[in-house]
Amino acid sequence: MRYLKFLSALAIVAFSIKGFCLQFDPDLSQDLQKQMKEDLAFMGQIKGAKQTPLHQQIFGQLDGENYKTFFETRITSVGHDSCGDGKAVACVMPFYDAHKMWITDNFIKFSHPQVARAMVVYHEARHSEGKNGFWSHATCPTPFLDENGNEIKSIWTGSTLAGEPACDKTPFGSYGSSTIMLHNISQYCVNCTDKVKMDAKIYSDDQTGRLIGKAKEDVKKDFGM
Amino acid sequence: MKKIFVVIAALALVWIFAHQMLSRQGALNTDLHKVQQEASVVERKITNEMSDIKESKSDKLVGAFLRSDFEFSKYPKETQVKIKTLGEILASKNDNDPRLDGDFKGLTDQDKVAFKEFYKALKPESLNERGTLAYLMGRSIQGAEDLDFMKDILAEEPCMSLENCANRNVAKDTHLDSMDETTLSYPQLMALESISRFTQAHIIPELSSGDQLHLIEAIREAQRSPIPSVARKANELSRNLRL
Repeated sequence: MRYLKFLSALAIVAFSIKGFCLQFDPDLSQDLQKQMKEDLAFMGQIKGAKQTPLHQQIFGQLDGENYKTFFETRITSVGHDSCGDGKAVACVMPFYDAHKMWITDNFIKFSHPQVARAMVVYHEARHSEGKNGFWSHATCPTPFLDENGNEIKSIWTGSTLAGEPACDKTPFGSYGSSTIMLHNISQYCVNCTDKVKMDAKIYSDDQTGRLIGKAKEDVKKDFGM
Repeated sequence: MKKIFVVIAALALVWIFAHQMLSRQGALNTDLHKVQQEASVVERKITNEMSDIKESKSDKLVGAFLRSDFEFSKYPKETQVKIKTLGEILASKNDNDPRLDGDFKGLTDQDKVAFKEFYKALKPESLNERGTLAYLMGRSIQGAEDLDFMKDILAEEPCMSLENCANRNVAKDTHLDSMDETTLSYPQLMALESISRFTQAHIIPELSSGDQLHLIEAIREAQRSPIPSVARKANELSRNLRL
């Protein structure tokens, strides 16, 4: 009994230190847990001067508490997996357990900026929403062209995204919500370092490339462009 | 008489029950107090151990970031402090460390020489670390030499995979490939973004002709980049500046 009380007291201490209420599987290494907790803690302390209307709609005000609530109401536990690909960083498997996020070793093995790691876990958290069909991605158009009419082709894989389920036709999906989150951090965060804000802009620009049709226009309008 | 006895007996029972409850409460309070004390001792211990680990770890990582032939001692003390601080920040993977905003403003010529060496001493796969150096140097662009360093970064061969820049990873993950690709070109994107900021903060025709030339050369280098996002952004910058 005394032991149980001691453990619960420790749990309360751990909860109050880390802020986010998440259950980590025992096979998730301490290093992975630590990095994820630190990245979520970073998101949880963000303060913003204002936000765009779409940010207000998806996350609420630009405030770490809202990012924390957003995450906690979608993801309750974190496990360790390869997510089916040698390069993946994180995933959710909605048909197994929509509220569990899986993290791969790449989360700490590769040298991504902090904003990129945060982006991927929030992108995946959006995929946990069963009531919204898990925000499944749309098929990218064929051919898939950039704003200058050139085909978007990866110099790394040599392939294009044409015909792949890797686009969003709504600003509310995972690519759209990530773009909106990062753009707002880059523009309105008042307690982020200048580097974080620059990183947020760089990765937001990248995610915008996955928006097609009206979604792109909606986001640009939201950003006042 | 019987009634009085029953009342006394009832009162006695109530007293015994109340006494037991109070002593149990007292015991619980004592237990709780002890648990809280134990928890606070453990918490203090964990915090101390964490900070010990953090210190020793960051020292080791600062060493690990740098090539063995990187000569710390040849730089002035102030520069050495900056290198050490930067190493600690990079090791912590905390890009929101406020020291990034405050501790590296107004880099001296010696600092810049050391940071260039630091950049070259990093593994090619240390993309966030190299991008952070590009950011700090890019924030302090003052003229031709600084612009040339940005140009050198933009002229680098693209890093082909996060695991090993020399080898292409052909595994396809269309879902979040673009995040990887942005990280693979992060130092170049940061260099170009820094040049873009420099052009916003200066009136180009008022720069010396030498600086203007080096600025244009750096942008042209970015336009020739095999990395599509870098070339695209550089073309946009070139158009905006009417180069």
